[in-house]
Amino acid sequence: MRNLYIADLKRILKDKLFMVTCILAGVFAIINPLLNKVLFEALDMGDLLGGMMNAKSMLFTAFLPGDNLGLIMPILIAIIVCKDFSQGTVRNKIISGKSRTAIFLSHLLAAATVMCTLMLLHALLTLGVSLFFFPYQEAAFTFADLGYLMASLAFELLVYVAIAAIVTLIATLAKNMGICILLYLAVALGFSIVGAIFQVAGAFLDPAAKGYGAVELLNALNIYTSTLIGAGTTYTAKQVLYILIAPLALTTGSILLGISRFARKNLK
Amino acid sequence: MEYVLQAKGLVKSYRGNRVLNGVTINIRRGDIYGFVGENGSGKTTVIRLITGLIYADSGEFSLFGIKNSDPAIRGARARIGAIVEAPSIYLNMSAKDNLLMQSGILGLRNEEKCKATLATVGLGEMWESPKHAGDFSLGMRQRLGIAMALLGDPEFIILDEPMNGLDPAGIVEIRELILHLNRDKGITFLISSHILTELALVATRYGIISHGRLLQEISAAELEGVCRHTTEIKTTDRAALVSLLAPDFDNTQMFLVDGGVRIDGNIDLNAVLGKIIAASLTITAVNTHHSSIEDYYLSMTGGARRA
Repeated sequence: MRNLYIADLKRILKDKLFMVTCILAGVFAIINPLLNKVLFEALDMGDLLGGMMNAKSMLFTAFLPGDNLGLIMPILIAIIVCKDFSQGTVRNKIISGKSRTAIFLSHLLAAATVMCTLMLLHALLTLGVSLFFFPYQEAAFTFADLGYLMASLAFELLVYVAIAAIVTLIATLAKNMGICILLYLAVALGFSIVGAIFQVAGAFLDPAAKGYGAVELLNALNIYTSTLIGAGTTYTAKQVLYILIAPLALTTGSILLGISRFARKNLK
Repeated sequence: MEYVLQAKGLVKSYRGNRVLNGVTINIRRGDIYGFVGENGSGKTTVIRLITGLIYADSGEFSLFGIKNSDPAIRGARARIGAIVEAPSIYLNMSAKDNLLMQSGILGLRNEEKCKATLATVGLGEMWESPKHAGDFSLGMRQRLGIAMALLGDPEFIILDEPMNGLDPAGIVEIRELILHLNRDKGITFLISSHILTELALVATRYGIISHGRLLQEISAAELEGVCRHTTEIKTTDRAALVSLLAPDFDNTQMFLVDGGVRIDGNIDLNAVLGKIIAASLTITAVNTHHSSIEDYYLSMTGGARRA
């Protein structure tokens, strides 16, 4: 398993698409805060900056799986994972006597490692650039904020572990780069669009209205649009539960489905 | 007799289309087993089954005595090296990186061994080259694939169409390599190939497959015996010729043809012709014919034109 993981990690790092992903991560981290600054100044909304736009919100926006790097990176990583099947190099592993479960898990671990690391670096770079233009938050930064920030980053990484699991599942089942891209786009955009509808519904519904609880839960569980992470200053137990349910369920589900399907799959 | 691979009654269908129809194969240790069959006959499917890339609908096989239903089969697979259809190489990496990658997967991490293995397949000069395998010629890819298959010191190597894309010099090199590995290291080979005459230069045993069924397993020596040598001799007096040769060739060996006789099997042609000339018979024609593995294959498969 360790040998497979190291090999898969090397394979991803040596791929040109990984370099493209790194460049995009840097470009988005610089451009997004810059664009926001220009936009807010052009709209003459400088007074509102402290309340609506700050480095903290830029940091967590950078993690959104339906936007920018959050949308593109999983596709690029899916392509790299998929190459193991489309180029037939996965055969070397099977013929070498490696188990299919180990092969699947090593793909997932390598994808998760790369995605989480890149996403974290991208977000931190976004934060760094944003701090040139905006304050971190309206209130002064306290030690409690540091704890909240660390917990939030951990939750975001958990979301990307789930996305890595989805990506690995899709790449393993599709075995074809084109289908893999389409499937991931369908999943990511599908969840983002549906999530956006529920978010609007949630914003307009009266909290006392019938069905508000269900909408709130669906919003919280949709990792592609969830705004629970990094939106406040502390987490309630209910929020932590909501934040954890979806990534853990998606990761576990993708792993179980991936292992069971891959175990009996015919390979070329 | 120690068998490296024994398969019995392998059946495999894809979307209702039966590709293998009860294939039975026996490969003994030390064999160079030539796997012969027309396109779509099921050669590659058998290879995929053995290497664990696909699963059989029914039937069973054992590798080094370990049955495919036994979880230990994965350990047995670690003792084989294989190229299935096309070489499984990382196109965006150099030859060196490809071998280091495979070496890492195998848990070897032995750079010297990788270098030596690359030299073994005639690609030694590519060790330091940054050129990506995607830019290699077909032949170079094939050799790199073989090098990767050799890395784990396999006891059994499966090569699916190994001569594909190789130039004449490359074919000779790979043939020499196969013979060297078989003779000096005792490695058993299963080689599927369309180039039957090339296969005939290395194979010690053949398996002839057609329409998902193994028609025959035959040793090279047995094949040599059944591949007929025939000599046709025609004279102006057939009756006198028959009388002259009857003491040397019985009626299972000598047959009447128009204007003369046909003698099956290896004969001392000079001696026979000398005898005819000494008897003052006028020879009008002498034709010799040796049926090849291709002829034998075509006769076995009912004349399928493509192998």
